[in-house]
Parts: sequence; structure tokens; C-alpha cells
Amino acid sequence: MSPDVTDMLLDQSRGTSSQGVPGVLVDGSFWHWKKIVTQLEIDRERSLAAARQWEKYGAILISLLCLSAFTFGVVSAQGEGITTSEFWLTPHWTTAAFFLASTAGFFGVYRSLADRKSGASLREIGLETQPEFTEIPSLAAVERRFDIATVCTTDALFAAEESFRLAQKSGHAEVSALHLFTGMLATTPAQVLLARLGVSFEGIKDPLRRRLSTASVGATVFGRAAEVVMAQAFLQAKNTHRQAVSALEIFACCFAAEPFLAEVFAAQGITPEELENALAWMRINDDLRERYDAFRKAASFKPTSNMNRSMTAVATPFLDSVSEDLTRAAVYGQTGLLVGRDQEMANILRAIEGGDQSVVLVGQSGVGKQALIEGLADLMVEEKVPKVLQDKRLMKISVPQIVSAQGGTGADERFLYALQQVAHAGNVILVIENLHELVGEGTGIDLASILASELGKGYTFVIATTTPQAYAEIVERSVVAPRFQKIVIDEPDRSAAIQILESKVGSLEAKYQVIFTYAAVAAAVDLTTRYMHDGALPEKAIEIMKEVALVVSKRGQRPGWVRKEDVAALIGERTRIPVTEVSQGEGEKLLHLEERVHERVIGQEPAVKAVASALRRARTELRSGKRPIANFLFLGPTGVGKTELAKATAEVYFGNEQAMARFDMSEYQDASSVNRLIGGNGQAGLMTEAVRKNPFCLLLLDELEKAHADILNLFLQVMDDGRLTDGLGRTVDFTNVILIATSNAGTQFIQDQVAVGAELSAIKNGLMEVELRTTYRPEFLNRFDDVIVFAPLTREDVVAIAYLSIAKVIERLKEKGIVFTVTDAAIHELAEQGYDAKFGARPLRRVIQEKVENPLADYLLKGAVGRRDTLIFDLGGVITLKKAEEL
Amino acid sequence: MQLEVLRDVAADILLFPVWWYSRGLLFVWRWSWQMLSDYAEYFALRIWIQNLFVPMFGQYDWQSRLISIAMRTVQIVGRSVFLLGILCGLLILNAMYLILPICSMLFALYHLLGSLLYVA
Repeated sequence: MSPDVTDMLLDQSRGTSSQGVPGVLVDGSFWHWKKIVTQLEIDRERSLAAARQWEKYGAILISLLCLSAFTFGVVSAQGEGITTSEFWLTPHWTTAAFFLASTAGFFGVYRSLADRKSGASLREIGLETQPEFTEIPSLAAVERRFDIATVCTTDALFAAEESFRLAQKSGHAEVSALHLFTGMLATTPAQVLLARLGVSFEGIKDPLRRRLSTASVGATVFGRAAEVVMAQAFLQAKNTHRQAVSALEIFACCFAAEPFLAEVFAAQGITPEELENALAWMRINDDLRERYDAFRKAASFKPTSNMNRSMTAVATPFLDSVSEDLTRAAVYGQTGLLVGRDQEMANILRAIEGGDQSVVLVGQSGVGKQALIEGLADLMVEEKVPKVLQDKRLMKISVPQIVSAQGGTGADERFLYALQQVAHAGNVILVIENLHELVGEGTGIDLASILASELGKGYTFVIATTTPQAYAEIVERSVVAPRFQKIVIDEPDRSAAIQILESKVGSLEAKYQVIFTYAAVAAAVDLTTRYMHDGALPEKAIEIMKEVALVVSKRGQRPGWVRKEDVAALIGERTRIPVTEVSQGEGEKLLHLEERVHERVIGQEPAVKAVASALRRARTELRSGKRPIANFLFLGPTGVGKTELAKATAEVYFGNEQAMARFDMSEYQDASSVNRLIGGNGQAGLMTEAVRKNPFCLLLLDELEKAHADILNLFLQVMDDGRLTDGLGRTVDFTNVILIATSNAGTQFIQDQVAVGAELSAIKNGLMEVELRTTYRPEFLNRFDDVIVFAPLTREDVVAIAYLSIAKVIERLKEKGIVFTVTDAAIHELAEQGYDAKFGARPLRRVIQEKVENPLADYLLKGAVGRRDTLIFDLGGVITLKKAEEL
Repeated sequence: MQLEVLRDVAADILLFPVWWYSRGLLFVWRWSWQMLSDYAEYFALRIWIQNLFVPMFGQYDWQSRLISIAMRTVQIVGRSVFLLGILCGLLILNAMYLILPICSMLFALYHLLGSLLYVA
């Protein structure tokens, strides 16, 4: 059928419908889905494909048979006359067989080459204008029309056919986006994508089947809805610079066209953003493969010896012995492909091209300086660099090797000799890692001045690296600084870091026999950013990925699946922070936090409730991630349970009472004490170090009102930003601490108000508006999530505390096998003696010590009481011993 | 439908010469050009010509310069000969592509008909 006739039929099939023809307009050409998808057409194409296969095999078979006949003929005639022109010109069946064999061979070649996908590459079309999705009223409206099917991959075409087959089998009237989606699931790219997302076909098939069963029935057509999806897929493929429309673009467009699919995937825990990123991952993989192929080809032209292609270079035996040839390593495929970092690479090349200027890459360790240099080596192999770098070698000189040889003597001569060889060779670009190591600080060897003077001669330039701290403290003050242009290498942002990780996944998967899901890769970036503050992206995330791959591979399952939970578990283990999702058991625990805290703390309902709610918010990720988990100010008289509540919180939430860093602010009353807390002059601080080592802890600041005003300002920043820079310039993360400050400020006011029977809320208002103003600035008080007033303890509270304290004594004696009972009247008597309106429950501890524990100690020392004996404590401190029956 | 498929197969067979001298020929040209470019890059003739007067191995004395020019000339000639050889090879391949199918078909027909007539 000629194309025009097909178009006419297509127009007719749309009839008088007001709907136009969906397609994409590129450079005045209209691309639309022209391919007819009917059962007949599908069958015909499949038969034709099979027939063509037969044509090919038939040609080969005929060729072989004819060749055999020719050989047989020649051998039968004992090869007589085969070299004479008479043999080849006289008609004979033997010679006919030979020429038939060659003709069939040529036909075989034709069929093999013609069967290859001959459609144009999408990248070659529409280079001038931005393609746009449009609908035209009729195909006659545009002159140049093309079929999207000609730029589809086999998978994409298979998906279209499969969707039609599915719709027809179910008797559905039209192929919808959902049919296309389901049909496409049978293709390899879609299956790989689902695997990356951690979604199984089993998990989505039932909702899909139920939804499809609601489609209207009738004679099946590959209608408008499907054509729109195919046109959208074409547009997406064009916009993402694909070579052809693949099943992946159809996947994405079906997903966008059918909101139901978003629901299906949401039920599997996949957000549209995750799906988009996983699709991007597969595209990146394709791009990397293409880049790799191009690189391998270019690498075959790059010399791997120390000689350049124009043979102008000079051998550099000493330099070779103290350095590593990065361009040679790149040719041998020992360097990784650089992903992203376009801007930084452009900056480096511009600096070099602009005036043969040396550059120093300044970035934190692990940020990718080495990867950038290897990327430059790759570019040099491909010769995609400015002229000054073309046909050159990139050599990484080992400063430690130069310095350490011969016991360290003569390092300057060796370095100078290496630089002279660079000058002599003329084809070497030097890389110096950790430039600051050249600056002699107390070592007596200052290689930096040698480098500075040689660079001053202008015969070469150097690419160096250093860290921001070393640059500021050492390099900037040294003689080499003016010779270098500083290029700052920052941590990559989230999406760039994920892409870098994605490019590394392939080799890890092959090495450890595991498969990473997209969520695992994203979690490696997100969780290391959030919980691991030593090191920089992408390295710290790559390290985690390597480790988690190893952990998963050890489980013995092949291939092992690396999921988000595995990454979270490993990071949780490393940082001792509960990173994993809240489990059911833990959920129960969190819901009953108050009860658990009350096992230790008596009364103080509002305070316990406020703390418990903050912890629940934190664990369910409802809090702001940029501040501490909670900031509380506990106000109230001494001995009412402020510190006890803090301890109980540490035990309940962090697992033990020891997960608490306690600082008595009375020790930090002068301005110089700031240094002790956060460090300075090259010293680490007590508080910053405690939090750095154990970022998931409770930070208890006792008697805050006694701290110096500068220290209060520090905490202002902690409460606001959740971080603090310590004396060594390291950023310490406070976003996983619970900050609790206790203060006795306003105690008299609280006691007076309680005495006159004022409500706690009124007392709190009075404190905030009047009493505390003299001690704390308003903006400081406002930073606290809650200022909690602890009411003085009532007599009933003290009785309850007495019960708790006695219970502890009973427990201790139980360990010795002694039964200890205390009568209620005795407990009330102890509580009465231990109660003091001013000091809360604090005197009670002393009373219990004196009245209970001391006499008990006497009993034990005298040996009067043995295992299974019972001691009864009664009114007036009378202790009665009841000996147990003999065994 | 079977008839249609048969028709398509027949068209495939008939289109063999048309494809061979149109898209097939284009394919072979492109392939040959790529091959030639790759070899030109491999022999780096351009680089050798550009550096004809640049002394080899960083030897800047006049004797070395003379030796270098002589050596480079030898290299350029040698490499040009190699490249020319490859060009000739590719030209022969192209010529064979153009001629061989026709020859082989005509000879096949000639021998087939000839031997049949001879038998008759």
C-alpha cells in the first residue's frame, strides 16, 4: 500500500470526528503514528519477517550446495583446466554452480544488511526547531509527513503489537494507554526498569487486570489514545536525545497519560519522581555505553609509550619511575568515566587554554578531584582538549616517593630533576596531588619554592589538588599561590551525586553479583548526606554502596537485591542512628512513650507529654530535618524531676541512659569557656566532640542560666540551624540530638505562684513575659520548641517517688536472695520525712539512705541475714527479720 | 495473506539489484570512508607533515635536525604508501562490489543456459 493511500485511509477512518491527528511537528515535518496495527497486519508482518529469515538461510543453503557441486565437479575432473580461460568460458554445469553460489552469497549479504534497522536516527532529525506535540485537522494539511514507527526500536513496536493483541483478546474497543503499558511490560527494558524500582510484575498485575476489565468492548482498533501516547513518546525521545523511540519512552508516556498507573505504583511505594529518576538512570546507562564505545575507539590511536605521536618528545626515565601515566591508564581502561562536572571541567580547560595557567583544584576530600583529573586524562586520550593539551601525557607525580627516597636527603634535587625532565620532554602535563605537601612546614624541605621558580619559567603548567583548609592555611601563604588559579570543586548536588553513583553501579553489580534498586542508590546519597558528616559526596555514598553490596552478597542469594532498607541498616549501624523505617514493634513503643517515661518520672504530666510528642514527631519524620529533634527548656525548682526526665528520655528513646552528653553550665561562666565547649586553636571542643562521636544523643545543659552570654548565642545557632562549626573548622551536626536545657531561673516565682494556687499555664506566661526576661533574651527563649514549667512536687508525688525508690532497694536485695518488704505506713512516713517544699524530692534520697539503706547495710555486714530470709521495714524505722525455714 | 507474503518475498528478490546499487552502495561507501579515515588517523600522516621540520626526540642541534628531516620524510613516504595501499584496496573492494554481482549473475545465466543448450 503506498504511503499516500495509507494516509487517505487513515483520514477516512477518523471520519468526521472533530478530533485531529496527534503528532509532533519538527522542522516543518509532521511525525505521526502511521503504522497500521491490526491482527491481519501483525500476522502479515510476522510472516514476512519469518519469510525473510528463510530467504537469508535459503540463500546460504543454495550457496553452500552450489559450492559443493562446483567442488565435486572440479575434483571429479581432477582439477583439470581450472586455471585456463577455457574452463571458465565454456558453458558447463560445474562453472554454473560456482557462479550460482556466488550470486546466492551476494543475495544473502543483501538480505542481512537490508534487514538491519534502517530507520533514521532521531538525533539526525529536527536540529533547528524545538519539537512540539500538536494535532492537525487532517493529514492533507502538512506536506512532509513521517511515520513514528520508522524510528521505533523493535521493543517499542513489539509493545504496540502486544497491546493490540491484549485488547483484542479481551474484546476491548480501543487500545488505551493502559493496554500499551501492559503490552510493554513484556519487553526487556520495561522489565529491567521494574527491577530497578524494586517492583515485581506480580505486585501490579491484579490492579491492572481489574482496571482493564472495565474497558468498553467492541471491535478493537489501535485508536487515538494509543496514537497520542506514541506521539508523546516520540517527543520525549527527541527531547532526551535518544537515537530511537524505545519501550522506556512508551512506559513514561503511558504513566503520564493514565493517572491510575500512578496509583498502582504509589501502592508499591514508588513516587512519580522516583520513576522519572529510574528512567533517567537507564538513559544514563545507554549514554555511558555510547560514550564508552566512542572512547575505546579513540583510545586505539593514543600512544601508550612515553613518546608522542609527532615523535618530538624525549624519554623521561626518572619521571616515569616516580609518577603514574594517567593517559596510559585511561587508554587501558583503568580510569572511570567522569559523570557530570561539566562546569568544573570547562573552568579547568579555560584556565589552561587562556594562558597556560596552572590550576589548583580546591575541594574536600572525596568530592571528586581525582575523578576530574581522570576525566581530563580521558579527554586527552580522545584529543577533545585545547591544542596545548593535545598529543600530551598526563603524569601524576608522587611527592612522597620523591621525598622518602634515600632517607629523605636530596628530595629537592630529585624534584628539580623530575621537573627538568618535564621541561625537556615537552609532552608532559604534571599532576600534583595534595599541593600543600610540597610546602615544607618544619621539615626543612620546601619543594614549593622549586615548583614556583620552575613554573615561573613558563615551560609547563601543573594541575594540582588540595583541600580548602590546606589551601587557606598553607598554600595561600606560600610562594606557589600566585602561580596557580584556584578552581573550587564543591560537593555535587543530590541529582548529580545520584547520577555519579548510577554510573558506578554496573561494576559493583558485576563484582558482587547483586542488583541495586533505584531507591537504594537514592538512599545512599540521601542518608549519607543527612547522617554522615565526615567526608563528602559522592565518595562517602560510593563507600556505603560498596559496603552494602558486599553485605548483601554475603547473604548467599544470587543475585542479591540491594534495597533502601539495606542501605539504611548499614548507615544506622555505622552512625548508631535508627535510620530504618519505624517497625510495628517500635510504633507500639512510641505510642506508649508516656507510660514508659512514667515508670521513672512521677507527675509532671505536661512535661512528659511534650517530650513524648516531640520524639514521636522525630521518629515519623514529621519534624524539620534542619534543626535538632527537639529543643526544650525545663524550668522549675530543684529536685522536681527535670534531670530525671532527661535521663528517662535518653533511656527510652536512645536505648540507654548513657546516650546523654551532660554539661553543667556553671562550669562555663566566662567568655573563654566557649573554647572548651566547641574547641579552638587546633583543639577539639568537649561538646562538639561528644556530639560528633555520637550524633544521636540527648544533650543536657544543666543550670543554663549560669552560662556565659556568648555560649547562649552558640546555642541560638544550634537550635536554629542544627549545626555548629568546631575549633578545627569541622561542621558538627546537631540535627539528631534532643537538646534539653534545665534552669532554676524563676524558681521563687514558681513556688510563690503554686503556693497561691495559680494554674501552670499562668505561671508559664508570667515567667516568659516577666521573670525570665532578665536572664534570657526573648529570641533565645523563642528558639525552644517548648518551655516546660515543672511544678513543685506535692506530698502525693513524693509518696509515689518513695515507692519507686524503695522498689529499687527491694530489687537490689532480691539479687542477693533476700526478701525485703516495706509497709505502706512506713513509706508514707519516709515520704513525710523526705518532703521539702523547697527542694522537692531531693531530701527523700537522703532519708532513704539514712533510714533504710544504712540499717540494711549493718544487717548484711553482721551476717545476720541470709538468703531467703525476709526483712520487714515498719513505722519508726523498725526492721524485723524473719528467718527462712531450713532447706 | 499467504499470497501477500509471497508477493512480498518476490518483491524482495526483485529488489535485490535495486537495493544493491542504491542503499547498499551508499552503505559500502560510508564504510569505506570510515575505514580510510580510521587508518589515516592511525598513521597520523597529518601530524608527521605538520612536524616535518620539528626535530625528533628533542634534539635541536643542526645534525639532529637534518637527520630528523630525513627520517620524517622517510616516515611520511612510508606511511603515505601504506595509506595509498589501503585506499587502493578499498577502491578494488568498491569496484568488486559494483561489478561482481552483475558478472556472477550473467556468468551463472550464461553457463546455465549454455550447458542446457549444449545438452539439448
